[in-house]
Amino acid sequence: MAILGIVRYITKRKKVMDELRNAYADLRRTQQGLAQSEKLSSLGRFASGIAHEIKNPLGIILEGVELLETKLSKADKDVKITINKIKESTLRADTIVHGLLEFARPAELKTERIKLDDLVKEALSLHKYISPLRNIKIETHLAKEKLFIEVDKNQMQQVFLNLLLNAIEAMPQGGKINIRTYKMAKPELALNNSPCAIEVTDTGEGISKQNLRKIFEPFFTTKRERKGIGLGLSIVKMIIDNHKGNLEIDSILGKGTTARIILPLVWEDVQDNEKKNPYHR
Amino acid sequence: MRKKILIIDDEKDFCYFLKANLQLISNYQVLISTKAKKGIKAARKEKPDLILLDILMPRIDGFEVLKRLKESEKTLHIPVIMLTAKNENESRMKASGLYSDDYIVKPVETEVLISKIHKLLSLKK
Repeated sequence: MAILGIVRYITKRKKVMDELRNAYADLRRTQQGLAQSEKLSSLGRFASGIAHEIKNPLGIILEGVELLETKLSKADKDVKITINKIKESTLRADTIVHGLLEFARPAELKTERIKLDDLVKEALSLHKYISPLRNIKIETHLAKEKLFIEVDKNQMQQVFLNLLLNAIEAMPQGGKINIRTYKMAKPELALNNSPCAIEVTDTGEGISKQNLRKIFEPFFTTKRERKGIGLGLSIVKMIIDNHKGNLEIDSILGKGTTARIILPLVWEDVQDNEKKNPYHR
Repeated sequence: MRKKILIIDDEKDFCYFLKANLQLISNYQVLISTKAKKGIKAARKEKPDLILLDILMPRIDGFEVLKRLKESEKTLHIPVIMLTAKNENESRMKASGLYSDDYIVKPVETEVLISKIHKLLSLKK
């Protein structure tokens, strides 16, 4: 009896220790996330202040270059290429300023309760014409339960658009995108409801461990030659953070990448009784 | 008859290049005013077919210019395109509330600008 009691005590103690260890890891992650958000936020405030000062000279450069383009329409190939490069670079600089401004003034959240599946289906409808052209097959595995989340629909569309574009661009030779939604298990010590997750998995080139550490840093990009400016994932992360969610990226070089969005679940309808659901729209 | 466009913007170099582009590509007659007050006077005197108006200008800003243009019987019918580096929703809403006809953020490709000008001028007919 005494031995059984000791075994029970050790098992319980081990469980508590594990839970504490997990809670500590969660706390560390939250702390790191907060530091990152603060960094992005100060960068944004700075960008907002100087955006106007940058956009005005960009306007002058673009008008000036376009004037040269018209005046030198009969110039040799080198001149034309040079003019075109200046024009492209000007527009690229403008895109960067625009991206930075999204940090500066994160749009006010206009949340509504929506069904997770509807959000995914709507986002996919935007991609149904692009994917076949790139030889990409999209598969969806949606949760059995009807999961409702409270989100800003426009901002979440932006999130999906970014993640799907990243997945498509990671597979220049084509491949498969798997989209999965599911309800996660509730952590034992958690006070809130179980969260839900949306995963976007591609069979693309993957990300190295070294790059994975920098993936949310503003201006970090592996797509320089494909004109990426390295703000897409930073913005996605900021949007998810603002929704009190979490964004995780798992990747194996040469095999593919999974982006996992974890969001608080506000309503779950296990049976098919949508009409009774007060949040159903 | 050549259509007359008035640019009200304190950025002299921008005005210079934009004027040259508009005249070269679309044969518009282009007038420039780099001071807001003078711009309002020019609008009353010259009666342009369309005004391109900056927002952030010293002393009188573009919103005030727009308000004064829309308050005067002489100028209220002239379509106004806000052409500005200010890319904020509040500014767009404010300009729209003051009856601007369009809102374009700098830098803008001349072809895009011209297509918007054409559209407004054809609506005016």
